Amino acid sequence: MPKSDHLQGSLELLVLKILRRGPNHGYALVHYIEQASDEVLRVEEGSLYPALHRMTEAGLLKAEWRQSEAGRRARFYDLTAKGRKKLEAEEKRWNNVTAAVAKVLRTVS
Amino acid sequence: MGLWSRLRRTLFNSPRDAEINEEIQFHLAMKAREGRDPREARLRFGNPTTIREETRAMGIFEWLESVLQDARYGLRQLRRTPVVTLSIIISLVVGIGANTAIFSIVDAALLKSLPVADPQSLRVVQWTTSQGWPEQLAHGHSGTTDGDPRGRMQGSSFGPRLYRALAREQTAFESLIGFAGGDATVGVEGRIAERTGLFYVSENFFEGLGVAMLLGRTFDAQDDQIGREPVVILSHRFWLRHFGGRSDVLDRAVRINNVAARSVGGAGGA
Repeated sequence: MPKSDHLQGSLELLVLKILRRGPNHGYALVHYIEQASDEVLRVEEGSLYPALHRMTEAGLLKAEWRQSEAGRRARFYDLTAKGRKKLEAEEKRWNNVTAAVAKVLRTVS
Repeated sequence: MGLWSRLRRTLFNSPRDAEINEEIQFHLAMKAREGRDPREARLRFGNPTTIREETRAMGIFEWLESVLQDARYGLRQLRRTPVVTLSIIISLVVGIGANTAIFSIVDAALLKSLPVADPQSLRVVQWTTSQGWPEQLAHGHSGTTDGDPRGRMQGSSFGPRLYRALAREQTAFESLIGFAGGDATVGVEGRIAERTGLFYVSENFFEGLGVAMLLGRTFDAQDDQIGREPVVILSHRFWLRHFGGRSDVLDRAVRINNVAARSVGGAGGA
């Protein structure tokens, strides 16, 4: 599987969407994205953690050290109200864009 | 990222290296637990230092550091092109120097007011004639005059006799002050004489300008008569420079252009 560049723009959206279900740590995010996409999408940790810090900085997420299920201390991220709003907007945008792309693909043959 | 958020991030709640490290370590440990080869997991993770740096680059010290780096890099580049650098430096030096010099002149000539009681009310009296040279100025006149093509003449220099008549009869001003000269050779009590600024002034000079005496007396009407012993008042600057502000400078013999005079006062400073 080559590096999936097409994940770049959507990483933030995926993170927001997954965290909507409750706080989680970076590793779980990677795991979940890969599992849910049947390993089509692979998250580069090198982009995930900077993105998480950037989003925390922007006030979309809040971070907190907690005991993980493995018994180790892990940094858990959770959505803020601002993050929730952002998720709504981004999801709508994403659906519009993908629908538009699909439409173009359908009409041009 | 803005400077302010960098600052805030540095002052409050900034993820220090240790924290980022722990986060990465946790991630690697989870991978290892899952049964992946730790080395492969680390490789896939990418370079932890890069991640740390990328995350850390949001603080202010890193920003300052990179500013310093940029500055050093800039200096190295400058050193590589000495001729260009030198010409830039010289243009800056000349430009700034010229500006400073011009400003000093403008400041002294236009902006700073004279060290007198009411500089705003000072006026220079000028004469204008509709045609030719005024008869009253024919004697004892010095200084510059301007003419225009229609024969009209202007000037601000008056002969002593006209000055005296004006000073006596004018009612437009509180007082009319006369002065002449500019430089003279001045020697104080046997010391080596030197060229220094000197004005011959009317007796009302200091009262008219509102400059108080620090020492001795000002001129009086007696002094302003032909045939009297010339008397001199030291300017504040002259007094400080030649006598170091001493108080025993009155009644000294002073030679002005080799004519004997006597010091009677010292003027106050600005």
